[in-house]
Amino acid sequence: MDRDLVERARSGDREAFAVLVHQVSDSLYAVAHRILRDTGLAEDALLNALIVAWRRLPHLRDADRFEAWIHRILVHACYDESQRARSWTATVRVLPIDGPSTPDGSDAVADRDELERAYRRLSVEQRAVFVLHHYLGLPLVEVAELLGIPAGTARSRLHYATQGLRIALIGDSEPALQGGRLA
Amino acid sequence: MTDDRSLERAARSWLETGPTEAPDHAVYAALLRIQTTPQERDWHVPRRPRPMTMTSRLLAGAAALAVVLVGGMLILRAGPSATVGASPPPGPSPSPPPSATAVIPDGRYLGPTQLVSAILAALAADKTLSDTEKAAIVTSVLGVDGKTSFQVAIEIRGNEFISSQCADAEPFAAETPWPLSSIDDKTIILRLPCCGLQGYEVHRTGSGFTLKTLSPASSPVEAFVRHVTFETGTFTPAP
Repeated sequence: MDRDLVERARSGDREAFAVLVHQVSDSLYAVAHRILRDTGLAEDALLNALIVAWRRLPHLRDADRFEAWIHRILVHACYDESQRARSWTATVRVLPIDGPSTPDGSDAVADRDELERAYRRLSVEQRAVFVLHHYLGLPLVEVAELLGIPAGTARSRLHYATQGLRIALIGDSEPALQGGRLA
Repeated sequence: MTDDRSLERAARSWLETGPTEAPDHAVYAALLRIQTTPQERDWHVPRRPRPMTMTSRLLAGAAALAVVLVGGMLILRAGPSATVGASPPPGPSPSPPPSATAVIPDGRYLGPTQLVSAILAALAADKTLSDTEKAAIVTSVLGVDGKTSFQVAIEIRGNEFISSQCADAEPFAAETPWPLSSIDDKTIILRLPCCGLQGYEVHRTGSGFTLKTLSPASSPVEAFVRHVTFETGTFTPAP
């Protein structure tokens, strides 16, 4: 990330910020879509994150941390979008998965379908840690730093996310939901 | 797929399958909003590198006391109607962008016929363009050198925007389709190979429409050409 561009944007240069937006928006959108699993919500999260980032940019202390900083804003925008979405999907009950998955992994389509359903049962906080760690490839310490949470909390969320997916995939969804509330 | 390693491998592969590019309309909607969104002020004061001496502390204290006394007197004189520290008006809060829908129905639309003499007069009056740029606009961009009339046609084909221009009814420059999208029911976005994303506000007038540019032009040449081609009047359905 060009430090000079960040400095210029921080001083109110909208064109510099537009260049930064073009550089980071693909990554931000990809992360938002993977956390929220919904195109409309991901677009909303991206829009809101970019506006919040522009407004708060003068508060950014270290221009070299711009990318991590804007990803943190995005994750919080995802939390907000998830909260809004939950208000109208609260009455929808997730149906249990029918039967165990194919243990040898040969049925990839079924696995993906099951992963999708199991993933949607995770809390948005767990999904955020899961995506930052497994999709962006950030070490857990960096995930914790980016999200502003203790490393133990990040580890716990990742653990419950993985457990939640594993348990849901073998057909017992109840412990996964409990894990989601605990983390 | 029950042990953690194979599960993580499958999850990683599954995560890779999602979208990797942000939709233009979402990015553009944000950039448009940012054009009118102020930044928050940074009240951070850098740490003082050295401690103050006793003399400077006394001087600073005296100055602060004077400010408080003078300020207090002013407030008392102003009476009870004076307000101090009024909160600033709230900034624009983000609202969800509408889905991209067609703003202009498919079809071919003709812009107003403009006199080349009027375009040349506007060019002559422009203080932002150099003589070389003015000459390039006349000959290479608009193609109106030695002509008397100029007209722009716009064709909408689904998600494509095709603009063409004629001078004395002769077409000039190849018609290249530009990707078209929208962020609400009155804003279209064009992706131009030369200049990136451009936003236009669309005002429907009967079966026609007018365009007003929303995004800042990257150069005076672009600003002038955009105005002449898209902002001089109503585009009406071609017969």
